[in-house]
Amino acid sequence: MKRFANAVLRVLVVPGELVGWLILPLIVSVLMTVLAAKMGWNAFLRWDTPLPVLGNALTVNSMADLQWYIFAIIAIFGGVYAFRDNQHVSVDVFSSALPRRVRLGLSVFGDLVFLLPFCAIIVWYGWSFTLTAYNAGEGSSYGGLMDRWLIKAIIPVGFALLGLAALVRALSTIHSILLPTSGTQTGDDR
Amino acid sequence: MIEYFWPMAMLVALMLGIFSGYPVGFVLSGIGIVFAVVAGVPMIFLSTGVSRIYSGILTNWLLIAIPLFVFMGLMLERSGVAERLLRSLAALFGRLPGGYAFAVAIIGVVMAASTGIIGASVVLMGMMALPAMTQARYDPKISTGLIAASGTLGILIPPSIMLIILGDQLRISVGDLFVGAIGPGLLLAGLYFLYLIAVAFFQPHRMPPAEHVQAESRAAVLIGLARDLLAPVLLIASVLGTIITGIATPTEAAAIGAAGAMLLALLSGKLNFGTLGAALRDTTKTTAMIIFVMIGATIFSVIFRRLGGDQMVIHAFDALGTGPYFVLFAIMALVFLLGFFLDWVEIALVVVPLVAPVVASLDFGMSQSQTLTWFAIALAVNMQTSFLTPPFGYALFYLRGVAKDISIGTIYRGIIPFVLLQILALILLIMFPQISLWMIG
Amino acid sequence: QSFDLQSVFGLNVPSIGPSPVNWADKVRLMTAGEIDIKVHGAGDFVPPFEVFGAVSTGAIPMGFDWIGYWAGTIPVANLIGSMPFGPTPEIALGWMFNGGGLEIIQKAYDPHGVKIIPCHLVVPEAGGWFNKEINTAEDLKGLNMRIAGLGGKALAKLGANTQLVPAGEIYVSLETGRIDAAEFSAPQLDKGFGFQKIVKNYYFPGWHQPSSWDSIIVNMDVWNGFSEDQQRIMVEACKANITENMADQLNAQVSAIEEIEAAGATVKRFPDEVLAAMRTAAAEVMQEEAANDPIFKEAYESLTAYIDRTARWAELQALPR
Ligand code: NA
Ligand code: NA
Repeated sequence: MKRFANAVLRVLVVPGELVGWLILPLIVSVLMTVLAAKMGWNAFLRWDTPLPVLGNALTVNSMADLQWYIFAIIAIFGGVYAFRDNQHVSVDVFSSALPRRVRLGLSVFGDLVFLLPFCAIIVWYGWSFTLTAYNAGEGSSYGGLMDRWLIKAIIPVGFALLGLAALVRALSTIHSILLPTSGTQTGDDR
Repeated sequence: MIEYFWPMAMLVALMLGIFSGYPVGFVLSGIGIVFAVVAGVPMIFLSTGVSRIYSGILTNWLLIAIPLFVFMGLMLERSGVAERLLRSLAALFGRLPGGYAFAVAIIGVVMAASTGIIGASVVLMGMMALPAMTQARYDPKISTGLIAASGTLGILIPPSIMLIILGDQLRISVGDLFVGAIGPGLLLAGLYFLYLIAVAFFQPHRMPPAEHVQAESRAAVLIGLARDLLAPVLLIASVLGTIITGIATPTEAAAIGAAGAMLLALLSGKLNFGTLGAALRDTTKTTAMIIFVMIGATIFSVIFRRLGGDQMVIHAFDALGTGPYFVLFAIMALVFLLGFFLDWVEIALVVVPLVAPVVASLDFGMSQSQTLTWFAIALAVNMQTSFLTPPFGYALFYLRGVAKDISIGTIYRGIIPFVLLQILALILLIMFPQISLWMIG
Repeated sequence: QSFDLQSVFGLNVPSIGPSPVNWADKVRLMTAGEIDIKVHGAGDFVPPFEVFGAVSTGAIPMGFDWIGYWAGTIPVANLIGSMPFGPTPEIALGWMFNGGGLEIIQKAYDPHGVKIIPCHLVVPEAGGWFNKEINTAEDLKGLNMRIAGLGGKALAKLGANTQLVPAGEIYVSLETGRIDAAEFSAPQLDKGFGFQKIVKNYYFPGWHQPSSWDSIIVNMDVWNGFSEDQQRIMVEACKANITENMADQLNAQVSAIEEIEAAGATVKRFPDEVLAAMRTAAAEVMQEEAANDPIFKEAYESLTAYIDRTARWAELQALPR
């Protein structure tokens, strides 16, 4: 069970491990915007046939949109990554004094009562939120990026991964509560 | 009181949930959702959660500065800049009583002005300066207290992630907050220096001069110091300088700083594919851990408001009554007490939205934006203190992590004078708002 | 029955802030307390840009907005929100309720399940705050300006670098020279941001927005749940609201301009040559938009025809001053 859970978690954090590299284009893009403001440029490139996402120009506003797109991707997928590695902000001054089984029980309670329903709701409404943007062909009205549904889709996708991670960890923790000999490593051990 | 049953119950559940040790962001959102269901809020209302995550957080251009400042801090940590600076400062001051202490305090300020996060500086000084101070027979209470306190200046002195989030929460200019935090940051550093001078003078045995530092020529030492100061000074100029002169917004300055820190790491020969990848992955997780508390807080607060929570808070402060300074004192005392157990992320994202409307309506004889800016900076000093106050203080934990042979009890006792200095600075800032406002137009 | 309404504005903002509160009071009065609408300020439930989506799904039953906010979803909203060189308030009023305007707009809102009631008519905005003097159209080239809507697209055509700085960051961006110019609103609102302390020139006319509409939006299921009388009352309450806000705005603008001048800013007009260039660019922008969206096209043609037709009346009635 433990091995299975770790294998699933390893797959779920793959996007989180990779998206950090987007920080490099993020830096470049912000520096280009600063330069453009200094030089008084508006568009870096223009063309005639509209392309998906980019529309028909690469402007300062496309850059600004790109920047928060990258930020959104890092924040959401990083959430799954930080969850697997137990790096989310928590206050364990009191709980660390509790017996191990109680701590594991609290962890399962959190995964199933706090995290899983929350993820389910965000996936459900995030999906219709994305569909609405898709059907309306929503895009920037300031010459920025088009096809907003793509970035909105990050929300249901990211929270689906997070919910799955919570479920898998909860099952694995329950398993190790019921069969304490099957291994000391559990999702709750820091 | 019965009309406020749900919001009261939410607050109680929140306290229990946070102390259960489960991640705070998920406790916040989970309690929001559970109470929405139990209190019979229509399911469709929960779709506001998605709107708030998307429009309030993910599209918020201001917050882009967070990964950039985090990455900048991590790169700077790996560049070896602070290590070299410590070595040359130790060569200059080491042979004076309290010499190491002054070196550590100076590095605290320099690192604070070059990065937006804390941790790096505390860990670094804990690993490098602490052994040297121990060898010189410094009182461990003073060396650990100083390292922890000066290491946390980074969250107050701009650039600072905390100020970015406060600016966003209170809808005031982050540029103003950055400028306004310089005065209080320097005031605190000044108080540390005065304290060190007093100890060096009255209790010199607690920080004796180091004998093992070999004597070099004064000129050689000064040249070395100038060389090692150059990199951080250039970085400070490129980040704070571009914000103050208007070339860049805080977000843009963060990108400039991130590029600069990468360049420093490259020049020091410390940049390769492996370290870069590790720094980028750490940045991803640190960003996410802050943003997920924001996400949790935004879910919690919309349900809290739907169930009448904001009315409850306003009523509670109305009941307190008796003048703006009393209300301000009550808020500051609350934040200080919460700071024993919580850290700034939770305070800034959970408590500040609740009290912000109350503060905005108080009359201190200033404009509303001045009042909020001043309030935000006082909060920032207060929340910086939460890093230092036992039992739960990040800076103390970081230090404990690297200083294995010093007991946590010593660290807890060592921090007391510095916490008192923080309180003194906070009182001065509240009595004299000009400390933060004089540089803002 | 009780309903929540969320505005895209703070309730303390002059004029547009209390507008939905006043409307809700009228509805309560006219329905003898049957319909009780609780008005919430910006961000209480959802961020301002999400109010339309939330009303559309029914998460929030009602909203109050500046129509132009929904341009990303509904192209014609850009035209109604602010049409450069568009109608004066009185012509806008005529077109909306008697010239077929409302029917065209409702067509664009129908697929989203949202009922629109135009409810607050805004007088022309200012042309904006400029740290540089604008003497020729050349001066717009490379100008970094914060400006919303179709006017922004028109200025981009003239070589300006237009962007949407969030309201809270405009002041600092102007002060530090990060942007050279910004339009925000009418003097009554601009004054509160204190731009007059840091910017030299306050330009008129508000070519990009000679009039604009704020509206009440209602989830269609909620709307269909009201009786015909109740629906009629909500529309009439909006018309009364418009009368009120038309009466209270003009005098307040002039007082605000006086205060702005006293603080040291110079009030100026764009030269006619510059306005002519803006007009040409704006017409190009609107024709491009019309080519992309049939309802935008219908509204643009209908409104332009209405403006052209009623212009004769204004000419005949023009008096020497
Ligand atoms: Na800092
Ligand atoms: Na603490």
